[in-house]
Amino acid sequence: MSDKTTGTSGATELRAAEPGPVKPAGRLKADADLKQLMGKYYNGVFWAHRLHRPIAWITSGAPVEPLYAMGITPVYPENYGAILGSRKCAVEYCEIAEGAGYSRDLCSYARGSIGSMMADRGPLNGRGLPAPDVLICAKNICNVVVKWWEVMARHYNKPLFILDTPYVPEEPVKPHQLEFVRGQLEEMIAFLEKHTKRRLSRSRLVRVLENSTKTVALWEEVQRYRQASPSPSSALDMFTNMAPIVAIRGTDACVKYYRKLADELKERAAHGVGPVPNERYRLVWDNIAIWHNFRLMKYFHERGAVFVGETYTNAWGEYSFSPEDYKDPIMAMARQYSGVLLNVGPEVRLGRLLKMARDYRADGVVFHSNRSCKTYSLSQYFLARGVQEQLGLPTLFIEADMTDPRAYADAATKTRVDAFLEILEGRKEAGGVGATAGAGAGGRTC
Amino acid sequence: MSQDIAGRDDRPRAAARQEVARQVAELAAVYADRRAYLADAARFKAAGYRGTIGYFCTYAPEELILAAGYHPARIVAEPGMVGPVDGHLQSFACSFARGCLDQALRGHYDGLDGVVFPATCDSLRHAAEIWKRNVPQRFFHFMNFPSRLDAPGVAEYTAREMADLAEALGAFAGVGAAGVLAKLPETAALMAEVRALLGRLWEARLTWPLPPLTGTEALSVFLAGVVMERREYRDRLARLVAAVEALGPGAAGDAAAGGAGAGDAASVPVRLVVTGGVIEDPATIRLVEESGAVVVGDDLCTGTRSFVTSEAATGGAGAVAGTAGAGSPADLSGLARLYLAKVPCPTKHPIDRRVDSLLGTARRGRAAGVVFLLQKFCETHAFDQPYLTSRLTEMGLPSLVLEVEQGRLTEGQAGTRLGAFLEMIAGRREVAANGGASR
Ligand code: SF4
Repeated sequence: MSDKTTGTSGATELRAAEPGPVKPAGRLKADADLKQLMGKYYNGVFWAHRLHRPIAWITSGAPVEPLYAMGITPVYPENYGAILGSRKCAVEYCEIAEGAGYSRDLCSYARGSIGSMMADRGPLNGRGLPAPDVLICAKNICNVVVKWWEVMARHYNKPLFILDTPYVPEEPVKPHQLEFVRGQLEEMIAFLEKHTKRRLSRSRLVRVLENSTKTVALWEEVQRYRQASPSPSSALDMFTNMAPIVAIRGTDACVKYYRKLADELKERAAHGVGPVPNERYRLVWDNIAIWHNFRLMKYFHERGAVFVGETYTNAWGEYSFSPEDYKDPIMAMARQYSGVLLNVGPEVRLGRLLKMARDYRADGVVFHSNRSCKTYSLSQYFLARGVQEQLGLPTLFIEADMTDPRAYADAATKTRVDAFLEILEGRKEAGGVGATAGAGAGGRTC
Repeated sequence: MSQDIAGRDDRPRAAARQEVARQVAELAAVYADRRAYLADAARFKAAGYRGTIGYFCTYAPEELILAAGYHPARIVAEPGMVGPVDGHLQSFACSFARGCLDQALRGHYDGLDGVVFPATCDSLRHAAEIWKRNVPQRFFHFMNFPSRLDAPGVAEYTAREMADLAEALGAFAGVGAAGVLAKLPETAALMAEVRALLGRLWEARLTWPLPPLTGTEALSVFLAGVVMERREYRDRLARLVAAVEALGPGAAGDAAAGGAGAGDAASVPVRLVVTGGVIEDPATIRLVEESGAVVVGDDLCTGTRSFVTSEAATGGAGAVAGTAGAGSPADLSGLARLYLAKVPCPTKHPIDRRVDSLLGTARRGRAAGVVFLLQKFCETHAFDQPYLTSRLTEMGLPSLVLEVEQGRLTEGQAGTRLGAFLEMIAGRREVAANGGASR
């Protein structure tokens, strides 16, 4: 789906020409592998039952490592929701769920996937996702998934396991809270063993954790190359390229893929190749992608703006384990899966955001105020003030929904983007860049 | 003139009913004027309190706040926001969270010494963080409370989170955790009395042929209790319960019995149960009842779910709501078990006890229908509603979904839909009375 063969028309009103390649880089070479890899993954999903492999419907924030170690095929309804968004058919499925009484104010991943499940229709293979044998849900990303997974478990009348994680306003997680999560992880493994009739081998689990760690290290390497100017990739690339770290983290194929991607970005960075060669503004994106409107990203690119970091893709750099952890992998998972981005307090989130903005020399931060995802969006005003006050960077708010285009106004959004880029341009001309410029410029007005 | 529908002399009953109404009105007035009540620091000093601490939801242990020497005041939103919240929370956050925060940002809660937020939903968690940073109070505590009520070790974990709260309160009060725990048996006994009294009222509403209180009155009684000094409230509640019990259950077949065959079906108020989140304005229930209904039971954050165990709601354990099966806890593990035994709110898993409680309430209250009062943008309630509706339908009960925003129903629209709903129920009753349909 990656779409970055941006033309240069209309790209230069806001910026002076700078030396460097004129043509933006085309698609990443790795995209072909990505397509194949994810195609294979979904083939595996659709074939799983015929191959007598159990299927678990699992949340993006849940520990997937035990599943891979047990030969259970994980299926991600959230990823499926994103596919509905990028294939621009989310509304069709959301409306089925809405017709069954699910409020339009609910998360559109949930509505889309529930609609597809009810109608047993979807853009992959023409049918909905293959039915689960078990369902696994971790509350560490939101409360929504608990309710959503309950709906799906009732629909299929299949056993559901909920992993309850305490909220962690400040790290570290308290010992009794870790114990609570650890007890549930042990129970989750027993649950999987009981319902899939497979046993977990601890040594296989450690091997999968090692792969997760390698994947995360490669993912971080991929991200690091974006510190170069011009950035070798933008949010478009990263949003699509995060699919493997979400869905097949822990597998050999995943490690292999990210090795290849890292090499390609390294090469691009060394040769000054990127989607926005005459890079003028470096931006950080907060929140989930607007899957139904990647054109908006191109709109930024055409105006010399590139996304050098996203809190969403960055969050996948959190699932790494150390050799020390392998002695007690369950406890290590308890710790890792409790401290994920959407389960920590706003100060921790702000710290991670500021670090990213500094490391990647951002000129501004764009907040996607995502009507669907309350857990992600509701602290953004605090984060924006933090960015303005502590780094002096302007911020932009875009009101949208990750997959439901009915909550998005394109023309108004573009007007705000233009105004924001003008503020950035004014700062450039005044010689202020990055954290050195005056605090609060631009504010939340865009 | 003073005859009931069955031709009996109802004068003594009318007088007793008047006494009940008078007492309810007094309690309603306290709630209506709650800001003045809570601002009267001298009242609380005289009653021996160190100050006042606000709290949210049904999962904040009032017993511990009391044991630390503070008066617990539940935070409820007032209808109508004027705006400071818009600088902190998007408009798609739950309207209850926005309403409370807006009031706090406008200084309505500056008189409090602190606030306790238990973990419930995503919106309130964010509201807590904003509160912490923007409302000038000396004490803030976010208490983790499990989402999964059947997790291994859940009671120990909950007790441990409560111990952290006791410690924080003890440090703030200058008495230490030990000081708080020493007082806990006494404050737990007080709250158990309050819950048992409320339980008797709720039980009477639900099971008596003539409900002694309207739903509007019952909500006022409940809401007064989250504002008032608890001993004073307990005493007033005891008087009210005595007045209600003097009134008696009425006779089966009386006008308000509401069952088919109760004489002139069209004139009998329809018995309804309401379910939803925080309803902080009794006028919302009045709107439901004005159309010719009486709300005999509820599954609300500001009602049943605050003080009734699910065992009691389904009619088990002697059916006296409130303390059934839990008694008066003397320590934190007892307190944890009590809070875990409450009728679960929709942020909790699994859903079974919640469903059973709602269905049990409707069945025991011989409700003719259920009205959902859904807070705009409350995700967990919205997720549960289609399933609850289907379970009610299986049971033969019609239901209606209404949206509440900023604590209020949108009157015109709600009135019309309620009217149609009640007409539909009346139609069903007539058919049933004529010996058809339900068979
Ligand atoms: S509410 Fe947000 S975090 Fe939760 S499932 Fe929806 S998009 Fe994901």
